[in-house]
Amino acid sequence: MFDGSFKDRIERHVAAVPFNAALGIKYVDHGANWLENEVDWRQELADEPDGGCSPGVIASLIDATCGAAILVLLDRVTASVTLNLQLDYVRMGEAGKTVRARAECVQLGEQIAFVRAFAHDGDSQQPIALASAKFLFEREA
Amino acid sequence: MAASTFGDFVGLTLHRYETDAATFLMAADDRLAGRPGFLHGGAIAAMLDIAAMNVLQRANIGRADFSPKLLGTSLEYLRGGKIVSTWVRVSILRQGSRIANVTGNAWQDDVSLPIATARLVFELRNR
Repeated sequence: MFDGSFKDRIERHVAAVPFNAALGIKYVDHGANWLENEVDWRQELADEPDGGCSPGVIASLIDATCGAAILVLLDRVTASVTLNLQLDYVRMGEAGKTVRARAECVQLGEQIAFVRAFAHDGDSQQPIALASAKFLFEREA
Repeated sequence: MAASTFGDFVGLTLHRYETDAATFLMAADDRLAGRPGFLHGGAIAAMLDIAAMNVLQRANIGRADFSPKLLGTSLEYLRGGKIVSTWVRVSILRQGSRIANVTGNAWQDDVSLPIATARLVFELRNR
């Protein structure tokens, strides 16, 4: 429970989720109420030869990043459940580019968290996707 | 699913295509897990958007210039998805000249107990 810093624990937590590991989603950084993860492009994550990452990859990255951003505010690693996810695919990503998502927990209630997020592939001023999500989580008993 | 390498990655296969609707199957796979014993929300999102894109392409099979682009999705997660076979059914709600709207539902053992529902919007452009 007290092995390593919170940063180490959240990094391991993100990497230990099987579908995150399958896609290659990894922790990058976090702050007071935000967290960033990224995923490297590979052909099998695209829909077409030399296409950008499939929307499902972006959705997975954003879902994983939003869920982890809640843990930052809770200051502990616990399970959370996605209630809904709204995604806008602003523009196509490019083949070969690492996609990074940044999620910010906007409000943390007794059991519901509101999170907003965006993803970009190199220039944070030019997002490829925008998102908002609600999560259900459990506070420590 | 030759049209989607990522569809192959998540193990999605076409089960049945009807006019403007289709059913797909995503095989159980431990790699698709999020929290222990349950499907990752992203895997469910992926199967819905790949299926929606695929049904649009099938419904417009004769049009060489047909090139839908996913603009947005709205997903509601209704129940935890277990690591078992997951079905998804997508239907084209409306297709105009510039925009198409597709709806989808995912379920596992019981069609009356959906695990997720989605609305997807596509922009239709000529390549």
